[in-house]
Parts: sequence; C-alpha cells; structure tokens
Amino acid sequence: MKKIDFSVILANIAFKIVPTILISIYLWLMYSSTITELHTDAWANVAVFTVGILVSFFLYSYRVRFSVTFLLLAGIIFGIYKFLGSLTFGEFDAFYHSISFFIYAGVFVFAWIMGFGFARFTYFPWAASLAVFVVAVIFVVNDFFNLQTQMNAQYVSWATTTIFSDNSLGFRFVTMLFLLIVPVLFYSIYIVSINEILRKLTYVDSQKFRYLFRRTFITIAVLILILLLPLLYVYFFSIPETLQEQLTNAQANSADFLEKTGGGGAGGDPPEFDLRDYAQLLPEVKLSDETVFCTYIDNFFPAADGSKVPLPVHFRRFVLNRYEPRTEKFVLDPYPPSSVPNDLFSPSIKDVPIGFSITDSVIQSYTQEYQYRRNISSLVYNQSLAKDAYVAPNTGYFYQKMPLAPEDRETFTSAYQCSSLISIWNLPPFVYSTTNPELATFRDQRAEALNFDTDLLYSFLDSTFLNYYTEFDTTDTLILNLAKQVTEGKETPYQKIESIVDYFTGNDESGNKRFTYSLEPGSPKTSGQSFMHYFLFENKKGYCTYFAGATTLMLRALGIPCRVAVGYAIYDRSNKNSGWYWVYADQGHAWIEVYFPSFGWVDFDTTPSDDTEPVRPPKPDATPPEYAREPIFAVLGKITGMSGDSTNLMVRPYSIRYRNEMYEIPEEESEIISLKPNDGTVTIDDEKVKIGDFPLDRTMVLSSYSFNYDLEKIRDYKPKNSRRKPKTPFMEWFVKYFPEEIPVDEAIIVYKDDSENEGMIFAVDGRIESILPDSSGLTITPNKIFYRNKNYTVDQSRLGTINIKPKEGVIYLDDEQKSLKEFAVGDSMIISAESGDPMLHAIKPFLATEAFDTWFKNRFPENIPVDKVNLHLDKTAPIAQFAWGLLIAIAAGLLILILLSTALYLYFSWRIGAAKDHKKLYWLYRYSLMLLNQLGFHRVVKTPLEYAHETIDPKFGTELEQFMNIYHKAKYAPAGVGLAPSEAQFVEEFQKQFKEKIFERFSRWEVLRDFANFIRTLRFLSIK
Amino acid sequence: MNQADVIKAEEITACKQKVDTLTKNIGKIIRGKDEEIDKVLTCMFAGGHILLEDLPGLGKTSMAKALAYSIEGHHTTANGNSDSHVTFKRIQFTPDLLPMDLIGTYIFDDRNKDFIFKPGPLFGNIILADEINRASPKVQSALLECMAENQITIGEKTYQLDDFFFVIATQNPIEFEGTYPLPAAQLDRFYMKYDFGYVAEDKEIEIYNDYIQINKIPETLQPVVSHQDILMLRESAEKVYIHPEIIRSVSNIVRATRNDDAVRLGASTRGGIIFLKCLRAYALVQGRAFVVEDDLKVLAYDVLNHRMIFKNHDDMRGSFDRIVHRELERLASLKIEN
Repeated sequence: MKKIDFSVILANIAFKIVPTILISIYLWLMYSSTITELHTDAWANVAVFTVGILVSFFLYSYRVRFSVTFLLLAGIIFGIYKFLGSLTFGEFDAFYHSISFFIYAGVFVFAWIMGFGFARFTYFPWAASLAVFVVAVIFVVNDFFNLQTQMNAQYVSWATTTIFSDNSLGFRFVTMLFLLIVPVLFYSIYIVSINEILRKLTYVDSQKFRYLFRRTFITIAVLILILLLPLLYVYFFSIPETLQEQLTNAQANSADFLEKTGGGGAGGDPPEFDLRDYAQLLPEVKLSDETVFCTYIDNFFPAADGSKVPLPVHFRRFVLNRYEPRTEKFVLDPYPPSSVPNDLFSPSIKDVPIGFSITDSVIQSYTQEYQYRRNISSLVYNQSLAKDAYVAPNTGYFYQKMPLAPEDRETFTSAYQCSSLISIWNLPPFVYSTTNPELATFRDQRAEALNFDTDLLYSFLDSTFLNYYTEFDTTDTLILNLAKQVTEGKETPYQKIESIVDYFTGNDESGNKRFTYSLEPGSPKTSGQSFMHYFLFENKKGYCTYFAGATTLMLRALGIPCRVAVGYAIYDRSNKNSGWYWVYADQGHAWIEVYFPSFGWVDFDTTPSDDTEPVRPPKPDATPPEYAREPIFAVLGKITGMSGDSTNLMVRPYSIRYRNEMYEIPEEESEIISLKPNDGTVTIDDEKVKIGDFPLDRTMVLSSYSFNYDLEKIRDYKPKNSRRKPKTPFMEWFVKYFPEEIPVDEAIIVYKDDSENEGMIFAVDGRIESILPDSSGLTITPNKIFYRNKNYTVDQSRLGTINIKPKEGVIYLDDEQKSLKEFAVGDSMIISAESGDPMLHAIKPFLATEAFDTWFKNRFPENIPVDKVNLHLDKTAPIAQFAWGLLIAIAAGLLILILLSTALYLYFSWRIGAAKDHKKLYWLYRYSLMLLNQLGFHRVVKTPLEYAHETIDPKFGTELEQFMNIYHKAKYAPAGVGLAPSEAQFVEEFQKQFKEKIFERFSRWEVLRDFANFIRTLRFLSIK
Repeated sequence: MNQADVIKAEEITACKQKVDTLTKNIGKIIRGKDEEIDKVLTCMFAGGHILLEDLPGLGKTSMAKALAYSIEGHHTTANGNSDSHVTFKRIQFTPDLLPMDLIGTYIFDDRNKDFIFKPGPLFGNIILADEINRASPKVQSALLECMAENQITIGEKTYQLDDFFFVIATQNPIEFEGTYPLPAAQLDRFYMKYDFGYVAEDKEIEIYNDYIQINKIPETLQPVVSHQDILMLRESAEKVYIHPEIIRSVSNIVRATRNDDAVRLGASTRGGIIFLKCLRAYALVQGRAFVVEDDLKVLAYDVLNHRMIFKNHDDMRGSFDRIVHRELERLASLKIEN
C-alpha cells in the first residue's frame, strides 16, 4: 500500500480546502444578507461546513472506505434527529430545532462529500469550481426580485463609490454582479490551476515549479476567459446600455414636468422659463423678463417697534444632488440610496381639485426634527409657470389648489397655497449688509448657532448620507487645493462656508472684484478643458450656476454635505406691498444648500451681484391680486343623481373638507348626500351649465365660500387637541347631523373628459405572472403604474400582483394580434397595458395622503379593464440576458471543446500535407498519437515506441512501430542522414494505411462519440 | 562531431550482423533472456563490466559461459576445440578466498632457483566472479585495479591484462546472510548492475522441455565472432551519434537524482559518462547509428541505480522512473530540428 505523506495532505488543505472554505463563507454571507428565511446563523453554518470538509478530507486522504463511513455518518445524523424528536420541547420548538438541524445536517453532508471529492478525485476541483459558479449564477438570477434592496445594501454602494466613484443605478447593478461573479471566477481559475500544480508537484522538482505554475495558470485562465468572453460582452456592453436606457427613462419620468413645460407651447399654455438651461454650465444664457409668478410670503422679521421687515426667501423648484464630472452637469438623481431621505416635494398637481390639498407627511415629519424650523405659508399666483409646477421655499411639504377671483383670471392661470418648514437661518442677501441693529444681532446669532455644528457632529452622520452628498472627484486636486487654501485657518464648517462666500463675492487684494457676474462668460480656449476650471482659475466670470456649482464642489471637497438648488430668487423691490413679490423669468437662479446636522438644509448664495445692472430693473410691482378665497366647505365626490326639480345634486362623496380639516371617506362607508348649488348651475370647462344638462357619473367638487353657521358643527366631530379617534365613522356621523340639503356656492366638474374622452387614464408596465383560469385576463406584477397624470413606481411587496382584463381578450405580441387563449406565459415578457375605461375615470384621484400602492390596492377593481395590451420580450431584464449570455457562453464553450478534437485532427492532417521532409514525420507522429488518444488509447507512462510496439501494433495490425523507428531516425540521427528510399516510401503510405486500419475497428458512432470526448483532447494537449 | 567520426551505414550493418549472430548463439542456451543478453553485450561493447544481482539458479553463470564460448580466442592452443574460444575463468568467491587466489602468486621455481609468477584466474578474457559479495572486502578490492586499469600489479611488477577483459560478477541480494556488501567505489566500476529475474512462463516451460540438450550445449557451442571483432565493435560503439538533446536529457536525469527528495545520494558525473557510453553501445547492439529516447528508458535504471542511495529502499524504482519519465516526455514532445 502506498504511503501517504502527511505534508501532502497539509498542502492540499492549505491550497485547496481553505480557499474552498473561504469562497463558501463568502457566498454564504452574500446569500444570507439577502435572505432571512433560514433559521440558522450564517456563521454557524460556515463553521459546520468547515468542520465537515476538513474532517472528511482528512479521513479520505487516508484511504478510509467511503461507503462505510458515509453510512455511519447517515446513521449518526438519523440518531441525533431521533434523539431531538424524543426531547420534550414545545411543539413549535421541536419543529424549529428539527428544521435548523436539517439545515446543519445538509450543510455538513454537503461539505463531507466535497471533502471526499477533493481527497479522492483528481479532477474534482473542476467540478467544484463549476458547481460554485452555477450556484453564484443561481444567486444572481434568484435575486432578481430582490435586486432593488440588494443594490441599496451598504456594501454595494460602498464598493460602487470606491470603484466607479459614481453611485448611479447602472454602476450599482454592475458592481453587485461583479461582487458576486469576480471572486467566484478567481476561485475557479485558482482551484483548477492549483489542482494541476499540486498534482504535478508530487513528481516534479522545484526547478520546474515556476515554469509549470505559469504554464498551467495561463492555460487555465485563458481557457476560462475564452469561455467567459460572451459573458463579458454582456457585462460591458449590453447591460450598461440597457441600464442607461432605463436610467434615462426613469429620469425623464421623474423630471416629466420639465419636459412638459419645455414643450408647453403646444397645449396653449404660456411657455415657462426653462430652468434646465440654468442647470448646466453653458457658455451663454438668455433670460427673458417675463413675469413668471407673483407671491405672498408670510415671512417677516418682527422688529422691536412692532414693524415687520419682510424676509424674502428663495423659491426652490428642485435640487440637483448629483454631479457628473464627465459632462460637468449637476443632475437630479431620482434614485438616491434608501438611507438618503428625499425632501423634494413634487405633488401631482393636476389631480388636486380646487380647494383640496396634498401633504407629504414624510417630508414634514423629517424636516420638523431639525431645530429652528418655522412653518410659513406662501400664496403663489401663477402667470407663466407651468400648470403643474410646484415652487416653494425650502422645505415645502404642502400644496393646496386655490380658486382665483374672477377678476384675476385674466392675469393668472392658477393659484395655490404652499406651506414650508423653512430654517430661520435662511436669510436674504441684504441682511449681510443691513444697518438695522436688530437684524444685525440676529445675523450674529445665526453665525453663532451655525458655528455650533462642528466637524465632530458631521462625523456622527449616516455614512451613506454623508458620502452621497460629499461625492467628489478626488482626482481633481486643483479644486481641492483651492478649497483648502480659501478656508485656511477656519475651523467650523460654517466659517469655511463663509470664507468661500467671501471668496466669490468679495474683492481681491487690489480691491477689484475677484469674480464678476456675467451671462456670457465664454468658453475655454482649448476644447476639452473643464468649464469649471476655466471659470475658477482663468476667466472668473459666470452666472449663478457657475458659482453654485463651484461652491458645491469646493464644499464637497472639504467633506461638507452640499447640493445645488434651482428655482427663483425673490427680491423685495418696493415697500409698497409688504410681503408681496413679483418674480420675473430673469430671477431664475441657482444657489447652494448646505446640510447642518442640527438645522438641516440651509440656503447659501455665493453669486456676486450683477454690476452691469446695478439696480434691479425697475419693474413695477403690480397691484396684488385679490386674496384667493379659500372654500370653507368642499366636497369631492361623484354625482349619482339629481332632484326632480333639478335644483339639488345627489353626490356620493370621496372626501369632505371643512376649514383645514380633511375627512377621507372610504368607499364602502360613503352615503349619498344632497347638495344645492345656489345659482342652480354647474361649471364644466369654465362654462356654466344648468343642472340636468350634463350626464351623470362625474367627479366634481362642490364648495362653499361663505360662512354657514350650520356647517360649523362639523368641527364637533373631531374636537381639537383630542388625540382620541372618534368612534363613529365620519360619514355616518355627517349624515346624522346633516340630513337636509346643504347649500353650496359653486359646483365644478373636475374631470371634464370623464366618459367621452378616450384618453388614457391608467397604464401599467410589468411582468406577466400567469393567465387567469378562464383565459379572460392576465395576472401581472406591476413595475410602474401611470394613473391620471403621474407615474408611480410601485413597491411590489406591498402591492403584489394585479389582474388585468383586455377587451375581448385580445393582446398584441410585438404588434401581432393574438388571442389570450392561444398565448402561453413567457417568463421574460414585459407587458404594457393602457386603459381609458370609464370605470376607472370614476375612481377618485389619488391625493398622496397614503402610499400609492396601498391606495391603489384598495381602490382599484379586482380585475382592471384595459383597452390595449402590448407584450414584448423583456429586453430590460439584464438578469435574464445575463443568464442567457451565460448559457450561450457555456454552450459555445462546450461546442468549442467538442469541436477541438476535430479541429486538431484536421489541423494535423493539413500540416502533414503541407510539411516537407522531416517536418512531415513530426506531424505524422503528432497525428497518429492524437488519433489514438482520442479513440481512448492512452499512452500514459509508455514511451511512444513502446506504446506502438506493445499496444497499438498488436491490436490494430498497424506499422506504427516501424514508423516510430523512422521518426526516431529523423529526429536523433546526425544531420545529413536522409531516409532510405524504402523508408521514404513507407512514410508516404503510412498515414493512409494507419488511418484505414484504425478506423475499420471503430463504428462511425464510436468515432463520433470519442471525438466529442474533449477531456481526452485536453489531456492530450496538456501532456503534449 | 566530425563527419569522419560518424559511423558509416555499411559499418553499422556489419556490426549488427555480428551482434545478431552472437546474440543468436548465446540464445541457444539462455532462453527468454534477450533483453539481458543485449545488456550484457552493451556493457561489453561499452568497455565496462557488469554486475548481475539475483538469486542462484537463474542462469547467470550460463550466460557468462555462453558468452565466452561464442567468442573465438586470438590464440589457439593445440588442445583442441575448447581452446578456440577466449579464455573464460570462473571464480567462486568465498569468505576465505585470498587476493592471491585471484591475481596469482609468485612461486619458487626449483629448477631456476627463482620465483616465477603463476598468473591467477584474472588473467583471462571473460571472468565470471560468482557471488562476489561473499568474499571479504580485501579480495573484492583486489578486483578493483584490474577492472579499472586493466592491469595487475604484484610487488614491483605490473602485468598488463588482455585488451578484452570483461568481468561478469554475480551477487546475492544484499539481505542474504554471510555477505559483505560491495563498497561504493567498487560498485562504481561496474557499468551496470542488473537484476536478472525469472523468465516468462512459456520460456520456462521451454527450458524444462529442453534442459538436457541445453545443459550440454555450452561446451559444444561454436565461437561465432572473433576476439578481434569484439575490439572492433568497441571502437564502432564509440562512434555512435548522440543527439545534443539526449545528452541534455542524460545530464538532466543525473542532476535530477541529486535534487530528488527520494534520493539521499545522487549519481556522479562519472555515472553520466558511463551512461553515455552504455547508450552508444546499446544503440550499436540494436543496430542503430544513433541513440533514441527509448534507449534512455531501457538503460537508465540499470546504469545509475547502484550509484545512488535511496531514502526509501522499497520505492527505488518508482522514484527513479518518475525522473526518467519526465525526461522521456520532454524528448517525445520535441520537434524535429533538422
């Protein structure tokens, strides 16, 4: 019996088993980070695995019999299981324990078999690496649905920022795949190479080791890389493209309002000044002086003498939280990591009926946590702002649509009221140079307070948040150095900010302005030079976006969270109407918001004043519009009928608003109430129509502007300061107290297009799950839902699946009409369906008081009728593509391997034909050995001559031995010794005879089978 | 190598013919031992000596005898046929054997009143030193000079041995009792140490069938080649061509034995030289004018194993074969250069 060297076992453990354990740990931890269903500890599993594989490897290295030991192991496991069962746990505990025991036992047995394989089978690592690879791919594919959560995981964003310094969706996705695939790939290459090396090491001296190592490693790496080439193609080209596409789509959707306002002229709306021009560093910007909106801001500084100093604050439209160094653009990132709260309120304005409101309670509660926040409300009278644009002081969280006074309807298109929690430290620029001593004191208090937030406080911030808002291209040392130089000697972030503000707005040593404001800064002389560098170091001219962008980069370089805000700067032009401001298109502005841990986002402005126009253009402050009348009482509901004399409307309310209190009415509780418009008319599309002259089933708003003593009773339903929830539902209570008709001032049909219009009201994108049993519809997992005017991204875990019923059961498969009955579910099908069904029009609009998903689930019918269904292959599912790519890669690799032998055969045949003299002998020699090897005759330890003499010639009756003798003569005889004529003759005929004699022993099928056996080919190539 | 030194095709054919007749002649007695005969001849043509190690009764002595009887002596005596072959001496080594029993001694000549030299059995052409490890080291070392220098020195006088001097020594496996293991220096004199081994089953049965006849034959064997032929064959052997890559392989093998973990003492440079000599002679025996890779495999172990000390005596062959196998694979994968 062969002795087993202990050191060989140790080497095997160190080089094969330990890496296998490590990769298993890695995979297991990756796996358990996404899945919490296993009732076992990840580390315990890893420990069990480690023990199993080590013990097994050790045992089987010593020639222990597998069958006996494995049976013993099975027996022990069964015994423990029985024993566990006999113990008296609680019922649940017993179940729990047996489950976790089974998992441990499974892991242990798996590890045991792995150890056995490593110990006994030479080529086991090939199988092991393949298995590990397949497992990794399964992980990726399985994780398809968890992708969003997975990608937001800490380690992914960390790796993404480290590797790409770009935390966008596409890169996060690629990073995640790479985190999984790359280590596995390395393991595969490593374990196979080390296996080959260790195998050879046993009879190879150390001199040869390096050569062998290099050869084996390179061969295997090249082999695996060839296999993976198609995969890499998918990685580097298709996936980022698809993702980029998705990303831009997503951006386009969330920035829809920008698109719409840009092309707003088509709808007859006055064009809005497009802020996008401002959001980029463009060499030239043209500004118009059109009035955009007019606003009243309820923000004053109370002076001691009782007078109020108006404090205008910037109106924010949106924030640009991410910087793209390549294009030098600040962009709005629709998908910040989950731990970075979104405080940009973008209500679906079109859905809000007059008098009603939307509140984002998430933003509200998030912002309220900061100190020194003051709730202010502002009135906005929209003149040329897009109809669905929402501008409000930072941080807006509330929107209420207001009716315009009839005399203002000429001037203004709409009006709304907004509420914001502004930081009291947001100060208009004039305060910096104020002569008012009280304001000056307040300014100093502000400095003191902001100085309170030291670097230490910043270090306690959530690292994802901090990294996200301090993301900066660290290779840009010019800006970093400038930032350090400007803020030299300053300690607190606030001091640093102030010194940067001074740097941009102040004068240099010679008393000239360091930076000048210019709308035509010009472009860098050399193309490709950074606009930012050109601005900062050469030109020193620019407009607000340059200043805001440069400041943001400098602050981020210093590690202070910062972002660019875009919106309108508000200036107080006259004292005529205190608190009223008129905003012109040239007030479109960009400034910065800096994050203070105690105070939240605070505005700063580093743009110097415009010297060319020293005085703000003397645009006159117009007469303020009438205060928009806020309806005291409003009902949103559906008309179900009218009274016989056509004076009253019977309405089934969705919600009722009285003063500032909103009462939501669940559908099932709603009861019909009677309302009486005072003038007996209903407004449809700004036209008054008599009651009775319009069809029913419309959604409408009925509101009352005048005070009605009776209605005051509604306030009794929920007493103020009472935390107790009323026992009776509101509707029940309401009907009880108001059994009579209620007079209202105005009745407006909200959605004029309710039933006549074929327009799309609902659309859904998603994946098909199954077909309904009666083939009338489909069950789908929605991805994105369009409802009325807005896109909603859907949380699948909350919403689950929805059923849609195409009209007449017709669907379109890539524009080809098909019946649902003849259609089978394909996994990777993307569905898009749209509907303008009147039934859906009847559903109350979504007003953002709860999550859309939940709302949708409760409000929408079980089977949603849709007009048009389009199916197409899931091109945007990179995972499926990846899996396909992998499959194709594996198939292609296998094909290459299988065809390798034939290729080799043909190659040798060709070389034989092409070669001359002695070279021909060499190729004949290679040819015959390759053929024999491929047909299963391995030379193993015999020399070719022995092999010919002892094995081949007796078996096939060939003359290989004679050939070998001639070959040896050609090879080893001194130069100049030619072949004898008879020998040359023999060689000429050898190939044909040899081939015939060999092939006649094998059937065609056997030859095909043997040639497909690529392991033989690989062995031939590795032995040479 | 000069073109002149390269052996001519006609010459090799002639050599091959002689070798074949010799082999055939010996084969009449020694059945089923073609490879062994080749190796003995290889040693002889390489100008060395051979040590056969094996159990008694396997034909070692018969081999030596048959060889001697097949070669015609250069001097013929009047005694008849038996003297027509080269002188063959058989010495049975025993523990009490003395050096003078081998090399001869001076005895007093009564008539001339002088000491005259009485040559010992070593003064012959083919010497069969049977069971050499039974004799004391003193006797063993007496062989040393004559094997190495082809001469015998007694007292002040040096006697030159015949040009054709070939020692076939046999020894019992070392484990046997009552043996004196040969010192390394002595072992080194033997070009090969060869395990004789048993014959195959069918050959053995053939031997049993023919043993009566076989036993008679050695004495009746006709010499087929001359003493001169042997010397000529020796010369021819030196002209056999060795490809540089094979020389490199010999060097690699010899060097590898020094670095191998399983070997305590590797082969010497002299071992390598002897290896080359044997390769040439073996190629000649095979009728080739050049050495091929397979020759390495056939000879390597026999030429080198007694020059090395293995750590694990049981696995000598295995460790050694791995070294040789690697070189063979290297040679097999070489392309034809010229």
